[in-house]
Amino acid sequence: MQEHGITDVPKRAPALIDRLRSSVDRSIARLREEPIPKATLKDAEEEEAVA
Amino acid sequence: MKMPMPFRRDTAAEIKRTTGQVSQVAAKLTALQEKRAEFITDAAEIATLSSIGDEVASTERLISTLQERLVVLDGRRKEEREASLEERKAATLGELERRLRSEADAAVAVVDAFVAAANAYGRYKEIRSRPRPWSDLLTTPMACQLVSTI
Repeated sequence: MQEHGITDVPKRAPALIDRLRSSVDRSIARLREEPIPKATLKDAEEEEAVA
Repeated sequence: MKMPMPFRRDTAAEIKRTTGQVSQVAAKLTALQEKRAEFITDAAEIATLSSIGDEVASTERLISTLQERLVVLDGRRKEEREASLEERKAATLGELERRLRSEADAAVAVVDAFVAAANAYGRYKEIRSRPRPWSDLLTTPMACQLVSTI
């Protein structure tokens, strides 16, 4: 590992952590907004029909 | 003098005629009774048909009402199904979020450890770059050799 890289880590770490946290936030928000796929609705309908 | 007997003949003829009339009337009555019986049967059939017609109409109305009810229930079932799926989605996403944040925390802990290691390495480099005091020379291989010789 390059010395420059290692000594640079403390400076880069906060931004890296921020990116990680906001990536998690964005992913969760996107998943919450996504509608339930029609295939899933159809599966549920078929499950009900069988029950 | 013997009295003529027109009456007897007339009476007999009348009886005969009347008997014939009675027979005719009786036949007519029988025919009328049969006809009436037919009418009664027809009327009963008509009443039965009318009753069946009413029942058919009533059943059709019931079917129509039930079909409307079915449409409403189908819509409600669809809404309930979607709501149930939304609940399941929310629960799954909640669990996913919990795990993702936990993984992120673990990753942050790794980064923190790496930062600590990098800081320690920087400190080490800084100390190494300082001019060595004489005491440090005692730990050098040459000093060790000297000490063992003495």
